[in-house]
Amino acid sequence: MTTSTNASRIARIQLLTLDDPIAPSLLERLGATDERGLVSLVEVRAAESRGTGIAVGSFGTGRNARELSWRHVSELSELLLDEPVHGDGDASTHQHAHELVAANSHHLVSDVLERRISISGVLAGLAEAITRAVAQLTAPTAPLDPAAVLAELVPHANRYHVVPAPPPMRIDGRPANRYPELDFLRPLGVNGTKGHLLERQALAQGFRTMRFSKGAFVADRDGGPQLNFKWSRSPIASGVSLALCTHKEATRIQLRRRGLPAPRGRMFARGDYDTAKTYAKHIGYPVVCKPASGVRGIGVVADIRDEHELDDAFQTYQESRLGGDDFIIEEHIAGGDYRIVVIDDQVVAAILRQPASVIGDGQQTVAELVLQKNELRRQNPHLWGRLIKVGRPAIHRLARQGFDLTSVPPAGVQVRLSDTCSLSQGGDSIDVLDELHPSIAEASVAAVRAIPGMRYCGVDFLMEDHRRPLAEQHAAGICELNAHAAIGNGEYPMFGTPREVARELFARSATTAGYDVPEPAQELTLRLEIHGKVTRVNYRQWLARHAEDFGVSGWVRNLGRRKVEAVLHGPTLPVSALASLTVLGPRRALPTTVRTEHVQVTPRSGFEVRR
Amino acid sequence: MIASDVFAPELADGTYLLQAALASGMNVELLPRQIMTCWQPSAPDDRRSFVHGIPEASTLAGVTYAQDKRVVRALLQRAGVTNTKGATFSFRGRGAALRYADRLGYPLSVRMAIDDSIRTPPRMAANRAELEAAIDDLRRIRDDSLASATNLRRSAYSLTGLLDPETDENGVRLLARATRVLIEQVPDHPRLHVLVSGDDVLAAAELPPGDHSGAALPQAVAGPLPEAQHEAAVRAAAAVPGLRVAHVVLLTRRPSRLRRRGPYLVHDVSERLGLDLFERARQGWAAELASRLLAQECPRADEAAPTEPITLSVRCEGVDDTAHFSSALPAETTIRFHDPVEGHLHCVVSGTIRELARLLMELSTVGVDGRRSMFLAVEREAAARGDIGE
Repeated sequence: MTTSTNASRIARIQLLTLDDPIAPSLLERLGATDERGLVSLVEVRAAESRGTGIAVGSFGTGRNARELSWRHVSELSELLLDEPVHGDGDASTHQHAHELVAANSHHLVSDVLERRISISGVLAGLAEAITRAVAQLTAPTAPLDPAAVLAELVPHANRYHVVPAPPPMRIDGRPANRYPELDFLRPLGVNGTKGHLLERQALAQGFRTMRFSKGAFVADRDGGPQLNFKWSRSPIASGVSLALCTHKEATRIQLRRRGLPAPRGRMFARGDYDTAKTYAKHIGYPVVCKPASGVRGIGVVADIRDEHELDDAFQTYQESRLGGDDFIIEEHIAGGDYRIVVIDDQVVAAILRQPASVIGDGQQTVAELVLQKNELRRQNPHLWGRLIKVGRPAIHRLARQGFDLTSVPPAGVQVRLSDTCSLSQGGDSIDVLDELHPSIAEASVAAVRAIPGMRYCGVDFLMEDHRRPLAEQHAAGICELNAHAAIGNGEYPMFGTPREVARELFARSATTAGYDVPEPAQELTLRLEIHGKVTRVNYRQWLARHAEDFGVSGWVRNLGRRKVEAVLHGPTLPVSALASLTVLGPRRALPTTVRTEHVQVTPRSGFEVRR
Repeated sequence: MIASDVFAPELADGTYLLQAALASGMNVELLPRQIMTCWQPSAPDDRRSFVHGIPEASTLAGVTYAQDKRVVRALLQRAGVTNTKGATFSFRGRGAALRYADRLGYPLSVRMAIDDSIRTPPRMAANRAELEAAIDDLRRIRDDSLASATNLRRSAYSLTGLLDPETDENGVRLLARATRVLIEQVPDHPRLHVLVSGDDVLAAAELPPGDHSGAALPQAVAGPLPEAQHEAAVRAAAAVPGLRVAHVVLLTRRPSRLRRRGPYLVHDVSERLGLDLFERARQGWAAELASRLLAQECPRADEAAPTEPITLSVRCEGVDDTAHFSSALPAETTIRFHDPVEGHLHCVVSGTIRELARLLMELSTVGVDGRRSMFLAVEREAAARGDIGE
């Protein structure tokens, strides 16, 4: 399975799987039986002098199969750690590796290509990457370029396991958080927490709900008014607030007119680059160039240091999807990037966002550190689909620091892989609420008050240090207001204390509508009616499988051609997650609405599929 | 030069509300997307805002839901309000959409399931070929769809979705396959447009059968609506939580095959006011309705109604070309200050309330040869203060 040199025992095993099943089993090779199979060894390589190996492969079909196999392999790896390896030195180890690859490469590559056709787009790039990696490993004369191989393979990694486990990754002494509810939230998809967390609160507080999609539901109780939500768009924000906040220039003007810290800048008509250059010179470099009403960082270039870079930035903006919009030039504020979540007059979460990075331990390569960190991100309900990306920009960023993916950074050295703090690009989220200086909290609340009808907002603040008074900071400014800021950001920081943003937002929405807000229930019994294309699509079996996985008891049955009824009972976390999940259903289902209400019956243990 | 018509359907609501605020002697601030904040000079802390005429009291969740026609239809059904027969399909499910349409029968209408503007008329299809063409046409991305001029006409609630577009083999940019369209059976019967606020019907006008584009001349409904129509409109508006004001469209004559489903079908519920339709039914009606809505939101609205002509101090910020901008202002405008680098300009303008409302909205939203001011602070000249870089 793996290799070592100058050692009779494996010192360390690393398992890496790619993002789709590829070929037959590594377990078979090891003498184990696993019908789902761990796939073929594609590469057995890595810093041999350190007695390590990387096994790259993939296994299983379907979510459950993959999980089972992974667990199996992880356990096996630990057992294997003390087993003798095949080879006794470099030559035999390489020979063995090449034999393994050669024996499987044809099947492996053809399988990948076939899947590429059948799963259009999913495997884009993978076949080429594997082919190249295999070619390198099987051609005796071809010099191995480990950095190039890793650059091809790491972006496709979907699981990573090291035995023995390296010391936990920490930031400022804080270990990365692990969230036990991840297993309940992962089936909801990458943005699942966004649409689920508020419904969890609603159900826990005795509301019934009606869900229309992964993001949208209404809640009411005892004949009271309906509360509607879509993602984090709530009844306590106005339509005006979103229209204003999605226009960056309008937001900036509104903040500055109220004496709040916002970068100096102004907007220009599309194509008016000459005036913009004059203005950039007038306010002084570095500057930021961005579309006037952009989202998700599309077309944004920051830290532009001279006119030449500004020309490049104009091109980036113009070629972006928002290149038809007007654009803004504003001063660049160097400093930490913070998301401060405000509800009414209260800051309920404060997150420091740092660009994707790893911290060296003097032993692991950058690639290994990235894989390890991504594995930690996979344990986070908000970040598991937002991994560090090892594309060209990351390689370029590494090179600027004198590293590549095979470099072993010294212990304690932080290695950056991105220039942006975006969590979607692999950035870290660190809770800093308890350390936030009151003057910053005050400015954030004032910013939210400056927007008509806004009572929930994510304030994006750039500043030098969140612990120091705003007045003492050389550079600080609010660069954006988000009327529908993601709730999972504050609920699931990678480091530091999680904050109950959803609970607070739901409570404010409910009390505004005249509801009282009781302590959330720890256990729920719910009756669900799922409407739409939900029969003859294995919906009941699908629900039963998830109920068993989640440890939820109850039953499910068909009610006519387009309706399924279910009762779910158990702890609030899994029951509410499963209730939210029902609007997705199995692959061929098309649920349109899910009605959820509380019932008093307590079903027997286990989950029953009724006719 | 100023040429665009701010009373065009998608901009009319915001302009009428601005006109009403000026007619009430209120100070106003204007931001892009017709965001207007207004207040009486005697009560500077008591402010109300509107976007495209939609009051601040309409919630973000409410307007978001109103723009999602699949959700609106589900909410109407939940409230027991009968609506037109139809379903939504993604572009990915084009085949299923066509099969559904064949079962439903033609003619049919097709429109975007999530859309910013009620004013976009649906495409009508008399047969399968026309439906296919209409679906394909809806999927094509217009060159100007993300341009600033288009952007400012939208409320932008759904803009943030921005699903990644695709490109076909001919290089034509297409909306993402997950984007949905609504296919519905719209019986050829009179359409009753009703403006509803709470339990009150503020206005009602009827369009004749056969007019799917809304181009025909609407007829004002004189007197109170019949109770059943009133109730249907109010219930439809209430079905979408969070809308302070709603524009409800009812199909009023019962088609025989739909008789079992009730005498009225709800065709649409929108957060937009649609005042231009009432203006076409009766001249001056839109301004009356805007005044009524303003008074509803701002209890002190008519405290200091001015006499025409009026003179206004207008301070502009974020003007992308002050020289060009000022040259297009009316000849009698006095320019008091301008800073081309910072994009600031202060001027004094006089005219009728209607003329000035139009002018201000042009400067703010439509633009002067595409040049706009991102912020306008407007006060009655007597009360003007100098606070922008002078």
